[in-house]
Amino acid sequence: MAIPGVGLVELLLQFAFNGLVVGSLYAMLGLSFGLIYWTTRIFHFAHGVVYAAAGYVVYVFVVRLDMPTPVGIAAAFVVAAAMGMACEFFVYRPMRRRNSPPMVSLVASLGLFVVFQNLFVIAFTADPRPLSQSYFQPLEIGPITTTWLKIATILVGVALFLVVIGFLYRTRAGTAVRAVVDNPSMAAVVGIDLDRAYLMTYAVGSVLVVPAAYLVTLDRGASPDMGLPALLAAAIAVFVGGVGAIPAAAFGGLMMGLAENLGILRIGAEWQSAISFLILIAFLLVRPSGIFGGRVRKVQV
Amino acid sequence: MDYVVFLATIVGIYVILATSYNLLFGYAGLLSIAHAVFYGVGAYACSLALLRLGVSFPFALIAAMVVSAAVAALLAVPSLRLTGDYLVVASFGFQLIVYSVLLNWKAVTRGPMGLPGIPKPDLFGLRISSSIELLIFVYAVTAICGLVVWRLSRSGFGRVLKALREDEVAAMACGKNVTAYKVTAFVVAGALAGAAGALYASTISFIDPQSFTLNESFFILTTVIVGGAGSFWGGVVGAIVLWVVPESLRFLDLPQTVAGPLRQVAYGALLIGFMMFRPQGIIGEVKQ
Repeated sequence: MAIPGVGLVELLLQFAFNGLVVGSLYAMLGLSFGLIYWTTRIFHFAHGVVYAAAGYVVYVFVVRLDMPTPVGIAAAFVVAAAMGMACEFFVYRPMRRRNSPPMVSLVASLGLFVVFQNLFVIAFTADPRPLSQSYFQPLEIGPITTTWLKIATILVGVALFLVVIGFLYRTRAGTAVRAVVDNPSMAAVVGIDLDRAYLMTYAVGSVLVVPAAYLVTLDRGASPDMGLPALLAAAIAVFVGGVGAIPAAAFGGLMMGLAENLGILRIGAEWQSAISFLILIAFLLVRPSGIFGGRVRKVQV
Repeated sequence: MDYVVFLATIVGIYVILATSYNLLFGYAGLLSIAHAVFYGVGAYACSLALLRLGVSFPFALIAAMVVSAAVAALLAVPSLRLTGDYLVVASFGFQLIVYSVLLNWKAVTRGPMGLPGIPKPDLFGLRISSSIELLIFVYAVTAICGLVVWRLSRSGFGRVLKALREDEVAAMACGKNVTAYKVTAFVVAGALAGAAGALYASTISFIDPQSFTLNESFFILTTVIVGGAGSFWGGVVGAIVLWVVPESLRFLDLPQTVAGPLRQVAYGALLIGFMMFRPQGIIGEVKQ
């Protein structure tokens, strides 16, 4: 791929930077999804619609109700947490009580995803709903062309990563979460209330997905199908990152973002999503424990 | 009346889809949300054979089944190492990628413009012309596919698939070649779905990638869940219920922009409802 007037190094730097931006988004998605997945071992499909809901909430508050952005984002936090906790309380927990096989929860989560995605279509139509502000003024940093939004994405990504690390390693709640990730039965034995831990995990995980939702909504508007590719990216980031290693999902996400964007140099842009998928397959076949993962427990289905 | 015949024909096609998916998901416990891939690939293979190569329908049907089976074997490879959630994600990605191929490989598939003018089936010189004849033909194929799944499910093959679903390690310990069974399950399910795709292409006479999206895979999953995973008639019942009931809602006269998504909401709600209150579906599995 050659562009006249632009050297290979400049091209590489530009695509690498773009990869960092996208990778930061994937990292945020992976962190939020990974927290929920490794703690509860439920493939929370509905995370995709919690993400989309967050975008729509900001849209409704800022564009339809004419409120300042921070209010919209705060509302998105509340709604996301509520949705996540509702999934746990009304759907997953009863299934846990009944000792339902994990596949039952997965299919139910899939159902939740389909229901909410289509409710969004009915409520907001399939057209993207953009936010009125834009941070699109291009700016140049050396050889790289970018926008404020893209820089902000990377910064928010870093901040979120630090927040997650801080939560997991500096708070009591986070330590409880790590205990549950490691061994739920043992955690229960030492007195951790699993029900409360799960509820909190869904709350925190759902809240963590809001920044990514906001950034994407700023960029492209909220649309009903925004949850699907986000969920897939989150899952791949988590699995590539490693079994049981929640922070590692960030690295998985970064890797995906970089690979996708650097891959464009060789392959057409429409095959981008294939790259991430192939990375996943490669990892799962060669190193199923992921980059940073622990033992692969043969996950029962 | 014509509409009823058409609906019945579509139901027949979906019975094939549901029973083939049941083999994979209900019996073998392999949750893939990529069944629409085999369906779509079969439809495209058949259409291209009919339109570009000018072969007669039986050959196009076989071509569709072979191509779908090959694609299914591709997906089977990750399934050997991956369990549960990983397989779901892999199939998820597989579905999105194949959809992308159908959409972007314009040279072959004409992308979003689709393939129009697909002829009705012709059998050794006799071309099917009326919708009743088509219905009978489709049902004949459906019956054959159903018979295949029926025999497989009743045989040792079906029992081993269920054993794989319950406890793969135990099955291995009993000396069963897990790889062979999994790949076979995928290949058979894929081939049958490909046949359904061929029938669909010929019935509707126009196909485009929109008919073979993730939503379609969800729908097939829903038919099996509702009807009853793991029991042969579950697939049949599910396909019938999930087509007949929403079609009767047509008479509610909702605007199209609402009716479509509302239908999907209903499917999703069915999935949740059944998982919460009757995971075994309408028919439920016969425990031996």
